[in-house]
Amino acid sequence: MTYLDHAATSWPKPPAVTAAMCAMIEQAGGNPGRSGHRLAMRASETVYACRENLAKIFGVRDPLRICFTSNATESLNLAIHGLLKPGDHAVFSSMEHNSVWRPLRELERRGVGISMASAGPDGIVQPDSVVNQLRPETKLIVLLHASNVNGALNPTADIGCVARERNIRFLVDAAQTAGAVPIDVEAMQIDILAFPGHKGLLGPQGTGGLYVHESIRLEPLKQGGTGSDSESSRQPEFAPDRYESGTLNTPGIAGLNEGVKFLLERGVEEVQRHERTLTGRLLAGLAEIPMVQVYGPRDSHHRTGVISFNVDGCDPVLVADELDRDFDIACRAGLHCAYLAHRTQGTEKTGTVRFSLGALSTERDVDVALAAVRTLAQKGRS
Amino acid sequence: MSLPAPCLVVYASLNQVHRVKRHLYQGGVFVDMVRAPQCLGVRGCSFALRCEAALVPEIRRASQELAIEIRGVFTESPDGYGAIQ
Repeated sequence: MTYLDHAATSWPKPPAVTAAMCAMIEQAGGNPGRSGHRLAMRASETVYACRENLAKIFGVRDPLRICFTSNATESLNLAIHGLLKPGDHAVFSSMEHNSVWRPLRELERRGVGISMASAGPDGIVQPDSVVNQLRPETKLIVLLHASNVNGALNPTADIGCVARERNIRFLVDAAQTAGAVPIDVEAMQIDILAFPGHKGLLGPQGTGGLYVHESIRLEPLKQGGTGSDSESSRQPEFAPDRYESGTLNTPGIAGLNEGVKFLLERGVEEVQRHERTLTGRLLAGLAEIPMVQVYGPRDSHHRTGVISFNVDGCDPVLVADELDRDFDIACRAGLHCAYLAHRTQGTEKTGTVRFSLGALSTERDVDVALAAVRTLAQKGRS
Repeated sequence: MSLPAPCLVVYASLNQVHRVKRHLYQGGVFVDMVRAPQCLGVRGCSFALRCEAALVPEIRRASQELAIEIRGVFTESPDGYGAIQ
């Protein structure tokens, strides 16, 4: 199998991820933060270790400002619904995923103003485009770090600067970059960072998280047991308990911890360098195939390893089916839950085929994919 | 000779206990963590750091540095618990 669907979820995972999940279930399966017995305490140690490692990878000073969720969508919903009230205004970009666009549209129906900053033809959102949409009542700028459709990498630190100068909160959707592109919340002036655990961070599905700056108090998405302040009918004020009602996905977090440790050891900069090299090879190869149109930035320094393309006259879903069936290549086709982004690049009617690289992708994966697309394009022409 | 009575430094949440414990550990101080007995009368289902009395000032300092509230400090003995100011 040539796996080129890392933007959907990374696979395979480092072996330590699976081992830690099994060990958590078999040897430390207590409920962290509830009971006081050894199994529960051991489980809680792993959960805290994961918080600490995530803090390390994102440059967060206080690990307690990271709360666990089940995926980036839940994190984004917690941030967006938890921060915005009727009368507030938020700016988002024309490249956002539905996990930003839909909550914002829902809040719009409830009296929150929203404005869209347009990306350029390459999918990159320039700071000026954001500035043009700001209003006196703007409370939040939401931006994806990199596109899940065409890999365009946004000048996130520059837009963080725009937000900080105006005392506007800055929420970054790191669904495609956490673990794949270096992120430092302090240096990039990110107030809230939403991330999945199962993509670049190499954890299992069902894991994700949210970093919330200490000056921000979000309304929680859910209320319930936190293992703390149990006599109170209200959610605790302190993080992460405020945002983590109910039993955590402890086996998943144990796996995520190993994924993050793997990356800390290898270095996210090294992962980015590796993916850039492969991205350059894939882009160069695709550019040489007649009838193939590639979307997004051409320069691998302004993009991630997410590459969208179409073969002239071919339905992308059928191309992906054929790649799977005849070439044993896993990729994704369609609109990628990001209609806005497809509308921005003019592929909203067709969708695209998407190859996405990961930390464990190889040159061989790229070469196999290029050979397959070459064959399909020739077939389409004949 | 009897050992000095251990102390319980109580926090609202196990997450906070971990944070302080790790901070102390990085400074070479190791303390245990336990579920705080309900009879202490500290709000909710609390957790505590269990340590020698001599370490309490250091734990207070660490908690202050981390802006984590201590909900109570108690001595622990076979006769029960006594609050420390």
